[in-house]
Amino acid sequence: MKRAPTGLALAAILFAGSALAEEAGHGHAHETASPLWPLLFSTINLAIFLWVLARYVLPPVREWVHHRRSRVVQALEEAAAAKAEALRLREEWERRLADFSRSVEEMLAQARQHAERERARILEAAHKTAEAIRRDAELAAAYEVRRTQEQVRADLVRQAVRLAEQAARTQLTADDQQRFVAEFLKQVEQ
Amino acid sequence: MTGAVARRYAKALFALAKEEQVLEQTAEQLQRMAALGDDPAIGPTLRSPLLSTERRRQLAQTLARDLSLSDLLTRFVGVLADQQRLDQLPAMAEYFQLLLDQELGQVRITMRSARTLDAQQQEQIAGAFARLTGKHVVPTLAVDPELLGGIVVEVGSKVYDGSVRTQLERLAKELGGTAVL
Repeated sequence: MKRAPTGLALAAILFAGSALAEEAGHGHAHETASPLWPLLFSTINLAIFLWVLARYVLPPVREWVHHRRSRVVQALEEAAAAKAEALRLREEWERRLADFSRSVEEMLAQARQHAERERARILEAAHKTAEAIRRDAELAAAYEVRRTQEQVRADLVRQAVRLAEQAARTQLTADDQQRFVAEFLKQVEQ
Repeated sequence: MTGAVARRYAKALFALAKEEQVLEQTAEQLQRMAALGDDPAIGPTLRSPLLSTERRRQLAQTLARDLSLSDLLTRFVGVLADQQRLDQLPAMAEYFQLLLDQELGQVRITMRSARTLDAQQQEQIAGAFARLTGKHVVPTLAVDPELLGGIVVEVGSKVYDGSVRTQLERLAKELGGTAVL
């Protein structure tokens, strides 16, 4: 509602300005006029133009610029916030990465310690097993040696007894029997 | 080892024989009857459960008469037949002899030797055991070549072993007693 009269006024002023300028041009052609009129009309036109600009164009432009500035500021603020967030995330990830590296080192160290302990345990178990096997083998060997010795001794004793029996059957005399009886009686009477 | 039943019968017979003063005669006749009971042709018949008590008694009485046993022993055999104790006769005779030896103060020994012992050796051995037991010794001789040498004397349940065989076995045990065979 307010724009329609304002537009009409603006158009009338522009038309009037143009008409005055044209009339000044015609007048210049028919009669000799002041040379300042074109300048005056141009100045008025310019003034009107500037007024129109200031009145109707500048506010939206200013508002757009202001809006644009606000958006740019906001964008800059958001960019700054994003940059700060990015920096924070970077620091956090760097910290996490450092922590991760430290954790990896710790895990590796623990794994090495565990492997070392396991190796020591396996070696100890292997040594114990080897020692038990060696001891068993020694015992078995000693048993076999003793068994063989006793078998040999038993065989020798059997042979000796058999030979002694043969000798007793063939070589003992009546005198020997007399001596045996005498020894027997001596033992009985003791 | 003599059983309780045999010992009880032997003691009863011994008391009766002692009362009638026929101990040695009874012992000798009891030994003969016991030997008959060991005879493979007569012993199983006497002990057969198929024989009736009356028949077994008649058979025992017949045997007693054939062996000329005393009245005491004939009655005793009849009682054994009635009680079905004829199978205990050898054990009764053994225990009766033991009681008789105790009564007479004598001991019986068995001398086993690898060679026949001469009279002097027998006397020496009998004298040694008479001194050892304090009783009169009644020896029984036996020759056993498996003894190799020396002598073994049995006095009741005791054995005095002086044989070469036993000495060799003892030596073998000492030398190889721990042998794993």
